[in-house]
Amino acid sequence: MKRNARGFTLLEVIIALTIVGIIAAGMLPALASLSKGSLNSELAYATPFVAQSALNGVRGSNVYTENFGLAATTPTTATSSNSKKLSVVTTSVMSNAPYSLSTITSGVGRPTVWGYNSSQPGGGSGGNNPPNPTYVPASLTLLATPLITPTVTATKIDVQYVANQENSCTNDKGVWRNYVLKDYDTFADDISRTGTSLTITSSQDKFINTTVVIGPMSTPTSIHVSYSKTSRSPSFIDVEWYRKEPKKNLCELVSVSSLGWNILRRGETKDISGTSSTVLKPLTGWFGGFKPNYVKLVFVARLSSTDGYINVTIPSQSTTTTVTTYDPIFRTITATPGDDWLGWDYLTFTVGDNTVVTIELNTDTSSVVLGPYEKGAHTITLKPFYFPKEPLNITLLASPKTPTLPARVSDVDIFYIKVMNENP
Amino acid sequence: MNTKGLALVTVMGFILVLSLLMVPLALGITQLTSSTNVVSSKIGIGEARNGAVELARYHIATSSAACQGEPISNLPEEQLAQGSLTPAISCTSSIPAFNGDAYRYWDFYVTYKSKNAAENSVCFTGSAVEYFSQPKVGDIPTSTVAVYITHLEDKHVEDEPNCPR
Repeated sequence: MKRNARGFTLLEVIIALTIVGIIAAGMLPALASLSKGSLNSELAYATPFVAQSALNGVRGSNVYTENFGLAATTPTTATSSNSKKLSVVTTSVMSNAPYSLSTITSGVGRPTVWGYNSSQPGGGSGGNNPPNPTYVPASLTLLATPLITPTVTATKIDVQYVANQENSCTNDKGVWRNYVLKDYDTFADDISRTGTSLTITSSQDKFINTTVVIGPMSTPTSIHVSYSKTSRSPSFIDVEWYRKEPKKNLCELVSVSSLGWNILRRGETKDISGTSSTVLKPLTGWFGGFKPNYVKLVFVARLSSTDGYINVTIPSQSTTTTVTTYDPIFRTITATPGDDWLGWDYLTFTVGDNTVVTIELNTDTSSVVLGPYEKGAHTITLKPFYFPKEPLNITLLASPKTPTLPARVSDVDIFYIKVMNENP
Repeated sequence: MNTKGLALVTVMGFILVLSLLMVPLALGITQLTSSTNVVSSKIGIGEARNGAVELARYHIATSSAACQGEPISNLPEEQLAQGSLTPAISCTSSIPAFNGDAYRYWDFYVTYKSKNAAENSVCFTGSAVEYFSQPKVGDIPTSTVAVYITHLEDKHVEDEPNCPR
């Protein structure tokens, strides 16, 4: 049997390998493209970082720039953004491939990233959360002293003697300073009273016996008596002094032994014959613990028929009393916000006794009136009013409830909100 | 017996087998090349997304309009190397404090149109919280405003009516 098995000839193998090599050579362009594409990919990846480096002014590796012509244009500010820092950076591969990429960065509104290891202002705990606003009082006390200074007004009050016919020694109403003219039994034709003057007239030539009670009077007062000249005797005035204790509805006749001229004891009389007037001086001194405050005058005379008269007059007197009154007063406190001001927070104040307070809060552009507030400590929340960042004027109008007592407002504090988390 | 014919068939079969073994390798190389081209596109849209966030942050932080819930769509378009970004923002609600707002809640819509016509437009939409560490009074210092982006997603422009066209 002829041996038929033999290997490939050298020629056959060479031909086969040549064909395979020709086929494989067809992939060389693809391999070259792969290499170029790979480089382009790397450069494309690098362009944003080159742009960011240009934006931030960081000078990094020059490998891309020197070896491959990767360069960023000068950061330009977009025409639409003016001064607000919107930057557009274009990075181009200059020599390798026509490839460019732009990056935009906003210069505003970028959150501050707080590092976990850094302590943020305002006492925050770090981390990537925005810091919380911290509220702190603006000042401890703006005004702690009494706000209202009493205004003293001295007012003169004239005390006039009041004449009436109601009070008698036995019917005292306790009006101590008033003088009372009261006519009792009279035989005169007419008795008229004007103010503190009592006039007894008689149109007939007749004998009169007229009694006048004056009192109560606390101030020793002379009593002026004038009359038409009497010619007939006897003509006299019988003067009797009484005293009345305020707490006792009792009149007691004052008995004195010697009262001097024109001051008559009980039962004594003053002869007025041939005269036209006399002055009855007051009885001074204390009798049984009280001053005589009632006097009874008994006129016994014969008046002429045509113009007979007797005038009894208590001289007008006045006393001056000083009354202290407290006028409503207002005071304005101005609080000026500082750089750290965020908003007005609240207002506290203390209102004293006898005081009603109205508060007006105003800035240049807004105004609020609050109140009234009475005695106690008060807190007013200022947040709802949204006052702008302008000086805040606090005007307190304090009025006394009773004018003779002072009004008082104190401890006026204003608090504002302050932000402590400003970027460093 | 013609043994030469058999040898030729055997060699041809051998070559065929070797060629078939190279097919997966060739496909792998082709796919790698294709993916590197896709990378550029992905980085472009990724950076556009980052830019959209910054653009929304910028317009939210600088907006002085009252919070009325209506979209603010008259914002300027920003041109990028890879395309354009057209933003719109809408303040949905706010929490007042004193004479200003303490927080404002925003929605934003930024439409990205790639320069590559083969790529569809994408709308980057999301939510943001604007936090004032000091109420707004006149010209506030920029450092007192922070805008936190709380949500972000890519949408088709046609799916979201508030996205700028």
